[in-house]
Amino acid sequence: MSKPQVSLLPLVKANFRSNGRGARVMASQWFLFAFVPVLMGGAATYLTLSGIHFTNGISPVLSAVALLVGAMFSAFVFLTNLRVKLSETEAYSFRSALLRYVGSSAIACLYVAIVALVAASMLALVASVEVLRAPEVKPWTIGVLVAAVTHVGVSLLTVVRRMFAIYFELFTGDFDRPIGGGRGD
Amino acid sequence: MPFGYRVFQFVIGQRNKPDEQHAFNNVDLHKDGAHGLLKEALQSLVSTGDANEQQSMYYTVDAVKEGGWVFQVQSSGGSYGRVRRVRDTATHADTAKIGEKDAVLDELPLLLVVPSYGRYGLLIASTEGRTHHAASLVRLLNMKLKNRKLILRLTSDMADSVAWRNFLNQPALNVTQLELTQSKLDQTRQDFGKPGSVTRAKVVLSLAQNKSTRSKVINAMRKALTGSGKFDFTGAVGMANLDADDFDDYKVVYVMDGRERSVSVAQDYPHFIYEVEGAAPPTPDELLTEAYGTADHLLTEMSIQKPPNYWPAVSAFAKL
Repeated sequence: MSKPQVSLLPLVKANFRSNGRGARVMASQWFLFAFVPVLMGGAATYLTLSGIHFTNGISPVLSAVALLVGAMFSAFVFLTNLRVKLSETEAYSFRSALLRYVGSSAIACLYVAIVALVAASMLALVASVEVLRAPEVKPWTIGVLVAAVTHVGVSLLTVVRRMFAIYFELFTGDFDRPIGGGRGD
Repeated sequence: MPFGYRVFQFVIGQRNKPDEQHAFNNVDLHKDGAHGLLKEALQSLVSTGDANEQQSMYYTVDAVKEGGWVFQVQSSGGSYGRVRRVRDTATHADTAKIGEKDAVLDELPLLLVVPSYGRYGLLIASTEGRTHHAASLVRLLNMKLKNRKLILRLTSDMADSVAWRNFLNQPALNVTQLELTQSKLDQTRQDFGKPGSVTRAKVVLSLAQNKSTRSKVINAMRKALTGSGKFDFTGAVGMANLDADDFDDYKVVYVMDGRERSVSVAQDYPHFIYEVEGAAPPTPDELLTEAYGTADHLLTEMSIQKPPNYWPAVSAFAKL
């Protein structure tokens, strides 16, 4: 018997699992999910330090990210339902690759929800604590926030990509050119 | 004459548009997808014949049975157009005449495996020597599909890893060396078996005596590598069934084994014929039993997942 799991680490690991696809996949994941956000955060800090003024955009970003938390949780529930339905349907239950797609998308949804929750908390903290917006600290705060929001955005893109992969796997025929030269729409 | 079977891959495409292929679950083909489309076409073919005047060949579909993803086609074909004699070999007396209109038919069964999704299916044709009826059946089916501007295309012989390995093992080809380069991740330099652990596989062929053979072999390999479907060349050079003991540290000389399937290279170009023991060509039911293992393996190689009942027992097949 394994101990009951309360850590979020397995979720993160499951989301970034390389599926045995090798070092190149891991490298691209590091680039996309770590290097690009840090680069964006660094650029924001640099721009602020060199005197470019950012207007106060915290509240719209905060509401967008908070909305994302809810949306991703409901997408997770929807995908779990889909997974159950697919494994009960005779025509799909044997297609293990399809089921894997659904599984990995569900995990990715949950991951985005958690990361968006963390980002929303950070934004709320900055909005409510005056010190974090002091002129000396502000560039670094902005850098961290931009990096966090970029990470959320990039992760969201992978969810969208996986969702399309599921749809395409299910209904490949819909994407064929129409038969017999019709317009097809 | 040795008997066996060949395996082709087929796609359903658009007439006059070579690159266009249709997914098998496309409802535009038929409400049941490609399976329904081919079922209707085969149904209308039963007990009709076709005389191909250009080649003086006659071909007919005698019966079709269906089960799971598989259509079992019992068909006969042969030549006509010449006056011939039939003679009893025991009594040395002529017993009949074959007129100009009479065709002499051989029965060679075929199997069509139509997955419920994806774009690729398998056509398994039993062979007598190098003769088979795959092209004739495709010709008849395409006559039926013509008015819908559809066409069934045989892309190539499906070459699986075992057949390629045996092909490369032929003494006539003289493979002198097989070099494997490992990915950096694997520290032990032992584990060649996993797909990700080999970054480069190099096969050195010595074919200097016959340059046309060499170009044909290279073309065949190139076709297998760049052509349709997924083809893992590391599997092709036969590493799937090897363990660490078979390899040296960096450079590897692979020693041949395995005689499961034979590759006929009578005409330089590899045709993968899976031999079947026996004095008579396999009956449709025998072919169904014989070809199951090969088809199952190939479908796995093509990353097509299979439901449990896709290839039912012989008794479960029903007449169309």
